[in-house]
Amino acid sequence: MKMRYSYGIVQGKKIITYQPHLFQNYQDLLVFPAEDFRKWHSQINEYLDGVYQVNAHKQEKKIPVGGDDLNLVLGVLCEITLEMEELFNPAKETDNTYYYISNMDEDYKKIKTTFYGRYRYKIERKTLHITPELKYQHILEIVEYAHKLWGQNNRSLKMNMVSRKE
Amino acid sequence: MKVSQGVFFGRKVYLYHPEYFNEHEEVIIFTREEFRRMYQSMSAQMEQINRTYLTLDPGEEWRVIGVWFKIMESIHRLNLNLDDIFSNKPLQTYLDTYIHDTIDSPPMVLPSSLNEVVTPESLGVNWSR
Repeated sequence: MKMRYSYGIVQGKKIITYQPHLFQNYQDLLVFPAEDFRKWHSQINEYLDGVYQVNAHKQEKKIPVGGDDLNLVLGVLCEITLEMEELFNPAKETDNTYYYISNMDEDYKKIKTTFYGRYRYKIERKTLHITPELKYQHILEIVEYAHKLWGQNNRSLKMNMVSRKE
Repeated sequence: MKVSQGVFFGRKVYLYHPEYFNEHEEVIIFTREEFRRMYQSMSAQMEQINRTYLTLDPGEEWRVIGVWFKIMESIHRLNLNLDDIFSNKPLQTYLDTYIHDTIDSPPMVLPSSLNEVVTPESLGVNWSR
């Protein structure tokens, strides 16, 4: 299921939706001006792409990240916070003079640092497929182990008895 | 942005604040619950980043890389949230479903006090300032 959204058009005090089948009667909805909302969406995308660019730049040149980069990114994040806070402020005018379309390669957005990603092939190749025989074997192993423990217990009991006799 | 709440009935949406929109203006409609989920999740990521940053002392340059990876992870989640809005891919976290009712609904009765303005607080997000 994807996120439900529909475009619509204002007619008098009501709105006619293009995809009414997505909603249910009496459902609470939020209505945004389409142009402004797309602008807001693209604005935040632009900021995030900026952060990814800093990351990619450092990774490609193999330069370690420094405090300056961190401050730069946090500055950008501050802007995102502001954008999100101002979303419901009716007094805020959106600047429609330009519109950002992200043409960044998706490859830059992937996380390359997690160990699971790097060693996934090796890790997944080693997982066993569990069959009934394997389960049975496993139970047998447990029984054997319990048997061994039991034997050890008994032996220590015998030893104790021997030591008491002496 | 001028955002209004609305209630869906019949093929139309009844607005709390019709004065915000012009005649024949194009609007985009989300369900409040889904939008709240997305918005809250994004704000949680921002908070996470700020907290991660606060663990860092100004003199500790050697710790920056570790913090950087944590921040990039949060940013990745932020980006996923944002992408979910317009993408056609199914949401991973979206497991709820609903049953379509075939019974005819009673006629629309709008409550008289429809004047609640949407704020981040009403969506359960508090921006600490």
